[in-house]
Amino acid sequence: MEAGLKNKYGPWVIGEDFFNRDTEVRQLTELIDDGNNILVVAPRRVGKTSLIREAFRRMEERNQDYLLFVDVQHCCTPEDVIIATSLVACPYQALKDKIFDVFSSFWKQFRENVGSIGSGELLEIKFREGLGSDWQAKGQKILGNLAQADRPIAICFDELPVMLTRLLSCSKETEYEPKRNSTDVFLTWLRHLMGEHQDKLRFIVCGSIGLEPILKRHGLSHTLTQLRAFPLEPWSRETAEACLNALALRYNLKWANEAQRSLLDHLGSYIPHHVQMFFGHLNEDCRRRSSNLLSLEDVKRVYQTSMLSTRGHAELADYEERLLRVLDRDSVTLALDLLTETAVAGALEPQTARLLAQSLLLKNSDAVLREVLDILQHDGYLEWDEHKQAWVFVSFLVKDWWKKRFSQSYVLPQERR
Amino acid sequence: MALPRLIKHNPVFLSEEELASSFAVRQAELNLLLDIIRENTGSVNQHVIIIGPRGMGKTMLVLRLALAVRQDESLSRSWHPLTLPEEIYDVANEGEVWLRVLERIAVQEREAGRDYNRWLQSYESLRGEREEQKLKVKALAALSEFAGERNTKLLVIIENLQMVLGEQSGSDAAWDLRHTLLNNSGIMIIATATTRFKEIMNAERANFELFREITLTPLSTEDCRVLWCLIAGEDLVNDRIRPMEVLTGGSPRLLAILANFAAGKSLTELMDDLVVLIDDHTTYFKANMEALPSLERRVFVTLAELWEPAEARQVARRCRLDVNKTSALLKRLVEKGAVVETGKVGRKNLYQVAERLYNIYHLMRLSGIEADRVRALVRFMIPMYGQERVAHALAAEACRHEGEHRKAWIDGYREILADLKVKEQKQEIKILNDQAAEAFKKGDFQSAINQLDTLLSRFGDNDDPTLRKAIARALFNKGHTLESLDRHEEAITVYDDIARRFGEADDSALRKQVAHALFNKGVTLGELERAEEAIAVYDELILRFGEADDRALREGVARGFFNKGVDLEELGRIEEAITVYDELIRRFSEVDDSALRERVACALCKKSLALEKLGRGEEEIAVHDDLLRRFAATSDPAVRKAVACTLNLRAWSVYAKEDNSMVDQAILDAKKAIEIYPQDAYRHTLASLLALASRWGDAFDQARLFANDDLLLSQSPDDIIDFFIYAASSGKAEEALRAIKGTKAESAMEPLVVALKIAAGKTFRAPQEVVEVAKDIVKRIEERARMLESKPD
Repeated sequence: MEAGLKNKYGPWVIGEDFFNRDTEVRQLTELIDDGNNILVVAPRRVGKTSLIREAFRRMEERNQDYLLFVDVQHCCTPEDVIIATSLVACPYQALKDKIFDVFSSFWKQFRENVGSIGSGELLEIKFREGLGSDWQAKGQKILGNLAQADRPIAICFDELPVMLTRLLSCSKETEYEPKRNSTDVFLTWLRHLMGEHQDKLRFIVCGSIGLEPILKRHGLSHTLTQLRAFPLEPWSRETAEACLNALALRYNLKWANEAQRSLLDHLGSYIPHHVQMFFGHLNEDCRRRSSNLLSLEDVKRVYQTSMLSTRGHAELADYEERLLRVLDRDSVTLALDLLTETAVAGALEPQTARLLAQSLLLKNSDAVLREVLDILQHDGYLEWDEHKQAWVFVSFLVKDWWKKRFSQSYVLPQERR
Repeated sequence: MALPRLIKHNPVFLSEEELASSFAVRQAELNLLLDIIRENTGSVNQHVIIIGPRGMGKTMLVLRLALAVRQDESLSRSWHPLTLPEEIYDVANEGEVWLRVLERIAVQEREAGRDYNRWLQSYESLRGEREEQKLKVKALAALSEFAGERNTKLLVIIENLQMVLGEQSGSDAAWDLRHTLLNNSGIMIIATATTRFKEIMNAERANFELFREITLTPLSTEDCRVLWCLIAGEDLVNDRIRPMEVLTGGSPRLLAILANFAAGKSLTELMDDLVVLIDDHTTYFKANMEALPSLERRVFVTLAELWEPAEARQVARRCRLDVNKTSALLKRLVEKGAVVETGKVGRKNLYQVAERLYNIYHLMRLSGIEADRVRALVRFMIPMYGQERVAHALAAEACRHEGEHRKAWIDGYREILADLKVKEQKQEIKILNDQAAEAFKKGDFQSAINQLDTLLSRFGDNDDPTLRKAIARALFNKGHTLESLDRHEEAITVYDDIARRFGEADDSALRKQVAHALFNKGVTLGELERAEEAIAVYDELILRFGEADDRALREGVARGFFNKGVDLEELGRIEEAITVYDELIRRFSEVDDSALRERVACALCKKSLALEKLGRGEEEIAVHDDLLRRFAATSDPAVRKAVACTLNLRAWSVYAKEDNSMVDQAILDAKKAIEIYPQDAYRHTLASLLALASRWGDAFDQARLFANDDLLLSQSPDDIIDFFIYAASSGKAEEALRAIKGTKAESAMEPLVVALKIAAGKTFRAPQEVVEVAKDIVKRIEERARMLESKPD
């Protein structure tokens, strides 16, 4: 095995590519073992999916549980979720039989012919056909059967909040109420199952956007109240330093004086994805120059030319889009203004925030402002700085992206009439 | 060795050997990609997207990558590369992507002479599947089957991903693809995309974050040289390859075109065939331009017309758009790689089309005038062949034509000659200026003036824009030299001449000269005690340049304000001076520029002194506090001087008021001032405060230092005397004598020494006139002692 750490960012990582977080893995595992249903709460790119996958991987080695990691981001309906869960369970023979039992009367022919189909992917089609429109009953039966397995099962629904926004999205106002009702039904059904099969089925929910703001926005907070929050913070500075050293070791690079410190100072918040991405750009830059030394000047240059460039704009668009998912149009405008003011001025003072809210002539501007600020803090954009008595960006990188993008066209609050 | 076959637009036509031999640059990117593939051994793969404008070498790179994987013993066991065609316009969702991959497998198996029918039949059968979800699942199933049988993973190369998943499919497709890529370790994607921002954004941020991005930047000078050498067989050294780099903007495709075109051709052939070159690539140029949104295209075309680097303001004026909007559009074009920033004028960026051949294309295609086509030819050839050779070629060409057709060639020839002449003149001016500078440095001011007068008499009336800057500079140098000879009136006349000649210029270098001339005139008038006139000159300076963005001009304005304030104080118009300092502070206090921050700090300092003169102590303290609040933490040496000065002033005001309650803080201030900017005037302040605090030992330690300071002795002898008077009046005459002994003050201030001896009851010997002065000092000591006794504790 090569020494050091692979420079990998974007997809989730486990095993030797998973860095640090042993404490969090242990804590999460203990909570699962104790029978808790968990909501992993963290901003995007902090490593939620990797954490859960790594915890599952280590639990797999104990041979005491069945671990089902269900990625539901592509799901648009409850049926999709049930099918996805069933597919993930199939590799376990004990669970596969339990699932097939549910469809046995519909599939009589299919079961006998399963060997002739070849690839397991085709099961998806057959599951969909078998589920029909009766997802609640069949779904309940599937999960009920799984709860009878010889071992407890941990089921992670990754990107459930994204799935819910897709479920709730509509092009016409008239479609909204039925969709909201469907979502309510689905979540209530899920909550019921969580309660019914406690200790046998343990659920973990996580997503790149916050679940609570979505539920709150759509009046669905009552549906999933029993989840225990498990917050996941960005890395500490020490962990980020250790990661950078491990990366440099792998790629045979050396940190010159102050270069590593400067990199971390630029980031401000040590979100694993950002740390890896920054290193990746630096590595690429070194290769182009046929150098193995990472200098302070290189860090500054790469920050400006790569981190804040078009890549930064795409990342930023993602931050913008997240807001669109959880806020209505007026609130999004306010949120963008608040973030831009924070980026341009360095901090957002309460009176300035109020001024911005008032300048948009919103109804109940105070209430809207409170809601928006809650979400901006919850989703990791801003945090309260006691010393400055103002809100500041959590990540300097996001602040710099934002400032670069929006500052030119921004009108100061005191100049608005 | 035969030069590699050049396929400019379709490298896929190259054989494997040709591909390997023609891959000369981008080695670092290739190695990086191979490393990423090697590291994909886990449950989920790192996917990659290669970003670059057209012609940057994306296709070449990915084809070379596929070849490298096939040829690598270890990688070829684990990975099976499949390259989709560059244009797949009939793909609208994820399932169709995998279907095309399946088709590719069938084609590859057939080409390899293996059994391909199975895969072809699977492909044909799936083409009839109408349901998207089923198509996706079944196509993936077939791919899994293929990979499973070969015990390999699939390396799928998809070009123009933004077209496939951005323009041609809906947003849900991106989520589906993400799900597949995150949950299927048997597939790795290497995608390419242009830098067209909109398409990348529409390709879903969810997927974009999934991909590791590698950006293909323009080729470096060295890479241009390598590529040129490979194609043209000619090794161009720096000064000859650099124009090619500039002309093509470092685009490998355009460089390859030029190299192939220019290699082995004579000048005349080049002239004839340039039209053909531009015509051949019109489709490429047109496609890129038409792909731009309309407003961006308008700005781009305007920039192409301008040829020379231009500010946003110039572009805006020419294409009749708002400046801010134009600026934003230019930034977008920069991000796309179509335009580059080539430098700054003051704080303003200069922009130029990234691939200079666009300028030539634009000029030749869109102008109906033959003269413009000749101009385009000239501009194209000069970087390669130099002006003289091109001039000869134009002359020869003119001789081949008759009548009207000759005119354009002659005009081109004349333009080059004129350009060459200007270059000669510039050279001559430089020599004269350098000689003048040399004479000035040696202190031979008259010789310097003579050189400058020679320069001005020969070139002073020349209107050529490129020479005007040099002339303005020579005039300024003359004015400055005249001042050194104390010929101030003549210097003022010269400065007036600069303002008259160049006062209306737009060029920023000329504007700076005018600003400097006005400022120097103001200073000279001040030295001649013509403060009113000096103030009028500063007012003119501020009026002309007060709104300028250029850093140097702003500094000139700040200095103008400052000097105006000083002159107003000289005239006793303190209130007005304070107003002027306030204006300086208001204008420049938020600016992040070291020189301007220094001016602000000095203005605050001067303002506090002015307030002290007016007896407005509270406001004076407030100004001190303001300065320290703003600048206490600065590391800028010039600003720190002002901070030290303010600390000293603040400390001194405590001593002046004899405010015992504040003396400890004042001592700290004085110490801090010395720490920041050690000078003996501050030690005097510290000594005085220590004395006020009755810390006489420490006070005399400081006194020993400042009593040796020449500047203090010559400029502030009363301050020194005052300290020792205070010491003596406090009963410390003997200690004072010990402190002053051996210092320069002892010999320079004999009356003071005698007075201290008298106060200490010691014998002395001195001339009568010294004793008389000493007695006056003794009176002051006694008076001070009485004052101290009468002070309440």
